[in-house]
Amino acid sequence: MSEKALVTVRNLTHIYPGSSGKRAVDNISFSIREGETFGLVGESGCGKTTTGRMLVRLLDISSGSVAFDGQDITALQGKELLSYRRQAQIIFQDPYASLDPRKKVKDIIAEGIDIHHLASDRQERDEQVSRLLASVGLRPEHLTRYPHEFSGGQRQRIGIARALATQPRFVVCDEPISALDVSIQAQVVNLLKAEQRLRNLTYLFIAHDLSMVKYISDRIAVMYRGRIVETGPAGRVYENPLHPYTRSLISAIPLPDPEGERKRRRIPYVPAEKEEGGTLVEAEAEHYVWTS
Amino acid sequence: MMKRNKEMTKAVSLVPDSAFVPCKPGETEAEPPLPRALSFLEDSWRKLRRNKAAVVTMILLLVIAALAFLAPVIAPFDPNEQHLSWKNLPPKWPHVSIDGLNGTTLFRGRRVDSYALAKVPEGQYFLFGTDEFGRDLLSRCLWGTRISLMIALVAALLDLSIGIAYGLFSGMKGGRWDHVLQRILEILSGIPSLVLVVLMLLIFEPGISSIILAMTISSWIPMARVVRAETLKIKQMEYVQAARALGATDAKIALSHVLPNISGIVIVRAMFSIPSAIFFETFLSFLGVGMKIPNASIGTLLNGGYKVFRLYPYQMFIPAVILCVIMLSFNLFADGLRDVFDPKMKEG
Ligand SMILES: Nc1ncnc2c1ncn2[C@@H]1O[C@H](COP(=O)(O)OP(=O)(O)OP(=O)(O)O)[C@@H](O)[C@H]1O
Ligand SMILES: [Mg+2]
Repeated sequence: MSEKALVTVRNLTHIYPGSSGKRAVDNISFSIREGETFGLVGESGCGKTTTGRMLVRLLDISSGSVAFDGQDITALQGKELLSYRRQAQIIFQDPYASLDPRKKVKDIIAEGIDIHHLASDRQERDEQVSRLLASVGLRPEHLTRYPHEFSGGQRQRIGIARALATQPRFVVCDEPISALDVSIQAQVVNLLKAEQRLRNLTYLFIAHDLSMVKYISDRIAVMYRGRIVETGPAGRVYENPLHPYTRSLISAIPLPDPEGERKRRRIPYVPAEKEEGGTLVEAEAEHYVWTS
Repeated sequence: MMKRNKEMTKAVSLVPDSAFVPCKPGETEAEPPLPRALSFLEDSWRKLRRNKAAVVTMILLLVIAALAFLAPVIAPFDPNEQHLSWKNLPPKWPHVSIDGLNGTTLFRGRRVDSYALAKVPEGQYFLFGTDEFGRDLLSRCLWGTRISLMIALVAALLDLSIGIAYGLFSGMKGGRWDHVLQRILEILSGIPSLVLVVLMLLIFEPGISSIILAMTISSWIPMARVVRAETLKIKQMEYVQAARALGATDAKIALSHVLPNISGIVIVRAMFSIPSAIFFETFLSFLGVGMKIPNASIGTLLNGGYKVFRLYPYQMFIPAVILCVIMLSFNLFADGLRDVFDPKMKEG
């Protein structure tokens, strides 16, 4: 991991058309370093997916900017956008909705290869697809199967292979494990980790519970109602949560110890009245918290 | 509690220790081989086969289509050839002596052999009888069915070309394009097709071409609406978002992701629009603004038949039954297809 920022987000805002000006993502800024995993946590509906999709240009950026490797990608069009798309990929939350039911696994994985002409002939294309399939732990005979023949975990791995096919540098993982069985979650997370090491990938890892994010992230941002309320190194945010919302999140992580679980008290978070203004303040090295 | 625990230990100890092998890392990931599942087409065919009505009507439609297609070859007479001396002969079938199919007519309470009276040579049969100009009704029915099926084909083609293209484009573009295109549809569908055809008679000869022209203007509109609605739905699906993130263009998404996923609904819609198109042609021809008079179509046959219904009921009865069978078959078959491709639509 280097100190160089690969993705820099400045004052990013998204307003869904027809939502009467409500900001689904409200003026957030952060940067992701090359090779690191940046965790984004927050409750359902706080704007995580919206943020992730703006970063890969699936949603319009209402205001603010995103820079990738020094290049402003906020308004890219045509060829340049296509080249950005090759480098920035996304893995979706719902493995059942994210694979085209009418396509064979082979063609699902090869879509990116075809679009970006990454293989010079048919044989090379097949080789690349087989290699990707093997790297996510599926067998060659799965190539000619349709998505509905697979389990959730297997589908998610197909989705990962599809994203990796374009040899991206940056991958947005939008809750890739929250729809999966607990026993399968570790499998997928370990696969993502292994691929990251192998290909020097940079991840934006979105989740709604802190425990998994803490395990795989280098740095974390906690989102609440469209804003980032706290951000810092994963260990520090976990051990020394500064914002009351973060504390509430941490108190909600289930413990593997029934005695402790019985005694423990959840800390409810009562938001202050929606205050305008306020900024992120650096409380300790690299650890920022929202104060008004 | 203690007792239960003991029983559990006993049950567990029934499994010999040798059956337990330490698990190597990665081994838990070994998955059982997938059972081979059916592809989309195989699955659809299997479901369709289970629906008896659909299978029967499919066979019936194939037979009707074959007969209509082969009309020039198998029709015993030229459909427009007149034999005035052989007019209004009732149906006569070889070796059948049931009244109504033996060439006799009820005349003043007695059955008389119309064929003998008209001096039809022995061994000459008109299976469906003849009309007021002595034309063979069987041949005319075959040619008329041909027209009906041709209209069906045109309707389906219009649906599948203009309807799909318009709907896909409108749905994929969205926004202002979609808005404008939908308003155009509303205007087009506001034009009553009957009035349109009558107006076209001012410029064109009545005939199949003006019917097709009228259909070109509006018959594909319901299909365009359905395709647009489905496109808007599929466009939101994550697999389309994934394709977009990979860099797929709108055109590629429309053709390779949206179209295959709405194909079932499209087929069902096209099948359902066929009977109404057939009926449209029949209706126009019956009114005399469709097919031109000497030519046979189910509509002109019905028109000729209903005038003499009291005297020669078979002249109207036979084309009416043919029309019913064709319409019913298309409807039942479309129903079967819908159950296969689009079971959710059933309530609607
Ligand atoms: N298409 C849309 N139109 C209007 N509002 C939307 C749309 N999609 C999401 N929103 C709103 O934007 C906000 C953020 O949604 P988003 O999907 O980004 O949340 P999320 O953090 O990903 O939640 P989850 O954990 O449930 O996936 C929510 O309040 C949601 O209601
Ligand atoms: Mg989400």
